[in-house]
Amino acid sequence: MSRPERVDEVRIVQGESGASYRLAGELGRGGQGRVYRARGGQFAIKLLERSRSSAELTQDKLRAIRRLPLDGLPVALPLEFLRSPDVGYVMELLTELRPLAWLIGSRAGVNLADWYYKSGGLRHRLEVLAGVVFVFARLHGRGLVYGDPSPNNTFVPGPGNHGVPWLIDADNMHYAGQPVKRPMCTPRYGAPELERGERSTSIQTDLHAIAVLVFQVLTLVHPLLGDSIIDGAPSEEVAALQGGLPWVDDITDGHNRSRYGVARACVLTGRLQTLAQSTFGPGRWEPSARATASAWLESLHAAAFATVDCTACRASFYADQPNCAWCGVRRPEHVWLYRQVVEAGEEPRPELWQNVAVLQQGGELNLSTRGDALASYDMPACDAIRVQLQQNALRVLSTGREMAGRIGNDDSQAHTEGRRATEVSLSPAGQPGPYLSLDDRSGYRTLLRCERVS
Amino acid sequence: MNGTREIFAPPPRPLPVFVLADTSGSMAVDGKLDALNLAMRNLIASLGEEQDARGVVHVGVITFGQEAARLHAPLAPADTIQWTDLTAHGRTPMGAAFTLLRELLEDETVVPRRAFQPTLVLVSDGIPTDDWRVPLEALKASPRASRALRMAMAIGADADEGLLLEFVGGSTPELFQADDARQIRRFFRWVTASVMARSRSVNPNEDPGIPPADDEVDL
Repeated sequence: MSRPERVDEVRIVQGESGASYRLAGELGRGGQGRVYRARGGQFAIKLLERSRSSAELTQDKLRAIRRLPLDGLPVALPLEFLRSPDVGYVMELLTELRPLAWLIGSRAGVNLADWYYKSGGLRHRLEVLAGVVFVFARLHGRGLVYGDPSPNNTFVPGPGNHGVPWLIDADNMHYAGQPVKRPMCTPRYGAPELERGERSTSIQTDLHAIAVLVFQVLTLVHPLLGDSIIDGAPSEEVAALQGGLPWVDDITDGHNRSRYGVARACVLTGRLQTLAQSTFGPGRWEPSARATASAWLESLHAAAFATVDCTACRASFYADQPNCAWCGVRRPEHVWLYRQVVEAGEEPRPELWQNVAVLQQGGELNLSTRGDALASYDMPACDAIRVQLQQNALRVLSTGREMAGRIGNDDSQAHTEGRRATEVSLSPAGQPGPYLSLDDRSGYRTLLRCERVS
Repeated sequence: MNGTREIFAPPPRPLPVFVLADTSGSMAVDGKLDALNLAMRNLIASLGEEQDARGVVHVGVITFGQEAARLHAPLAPADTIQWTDLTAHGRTPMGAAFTLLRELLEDETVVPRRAFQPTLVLVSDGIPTDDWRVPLEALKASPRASRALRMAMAIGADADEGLLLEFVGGSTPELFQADDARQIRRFFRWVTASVMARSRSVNPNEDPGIPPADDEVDL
């Protein structure tokens, strides 16, 4: 008895330019074909099954895609077609990225708790997803529809890398409002109205698919496929994907619950749960009720900043839980970091302090000198402030541009002028204390203070 | 819902593939059996790599040789199968194989309700030595088999082509003719491509259309 060995055939394909590409590993696959990494270069090859008519991928269609306003967006565009008999094209791809599908565990009957941590854990998932929805927020902001968001079309950095996600497979992109003859979508990621055959792909169908991705990457469960569907005949799945059943966590209707996945409170903040409810609850039948990409971005960004690392098992979890969600050890001491951004020369207003992140001893993070999450993802390096919690103080490690720091206090309005301040001491829980005021030449003043958590 | 120390993902649906392999004495000559064993190994290895959150390919093998049909490899996920080579002896009890297949298909503990429609593959080089007509009709009348994707290969000139075509069924049944060992391998590449096309199609429960047999793409 032996385990069958697969003899891999080396595949070489040729582009129209005459360049040869040797296919290395498979990166992902969809209904239309497979994507391979090309050996020795920053290229990926999309190979369609030869039996498919090449009409699906006409030169005209790809030329039209290349004319879309995608400047500066991380979308892999077709560079050249493959020579016959292969059908497909070559696209650019950063080598260190991998499909989002890697973060959605599907092995049956295996405890995935350890894998969830090793594949990046909670904070990595939140950061990766924030990066993904940021790309969609930008695309949608330009009036563009991606068409087919799926775990195999979305490439993300692995744990420990801070790259930008890329979307591959631009084949289905189009302007919002432009009708598509045969909308293509990945099974289980098509919006209910697509599954019902009622409408074309749209920004709203993108929003359904990215909400499924967010929910699945965090919980490992498909939001529309509860136990009765998973255990039932395949034909019953269709009705659920068409929106005919409540979603698995519906707040009012429990007819489609799931016993699988991660306990929701461990991976979804209240805001994330609210966005999922509006998208998969009323949003099944009313596409305009779905959460927008920027709403997801704000909430994912805030959620990532609300995590701490367990001192025992090192996994990240939400700091508002008294014990580590994964191993039960008491949460580490941490502080809330508050920020407000005012115009230069203005003083802080007590009601404008926003708690933006938790920090534990030694913890570092990059802050934007602007208010919103979208801005912080777009932020040029010169707008970043890197801070660290050291002993009993918040310390500014670096600023993108030159800033003048000083210490102020809400109560006294008295300032410590003079030498440049780069750190501010912590204040006790519930008591606003001193803040660090950072002025730059752009006309904004960033104010930071830290408060202990009781 | 599980706690956080135990996390289980929803299981993918089984996509069953049953292979009915002729292991009568005549298969032992001309390298046919060696080719079949090699092709089976490749089939199992290729299908074991097929990763999809929706479906996972399960393979089961029924042999018919000597005096009986036998479950050579019980239906199991392709990536867990430890393959044992087939050996060939004796007669061609194909009717018994149809009956065993029908019983397995109708048994919900073998093929659960949640499974996708199966793919049934019949490989033979000769004329059945038992009564096959009634068992084949019973098989084709059983709900699971009637909706299954059915494929067949005739090895050599002695195969009962009429029977194999009847097994495949449909309005324009297709039969793969293999005259040598190389073509046996090609047939299984065709089976692999068909199962994969199915697993990746929008609805794996519907026949996506079998890719042409002469397609050399080993996708």
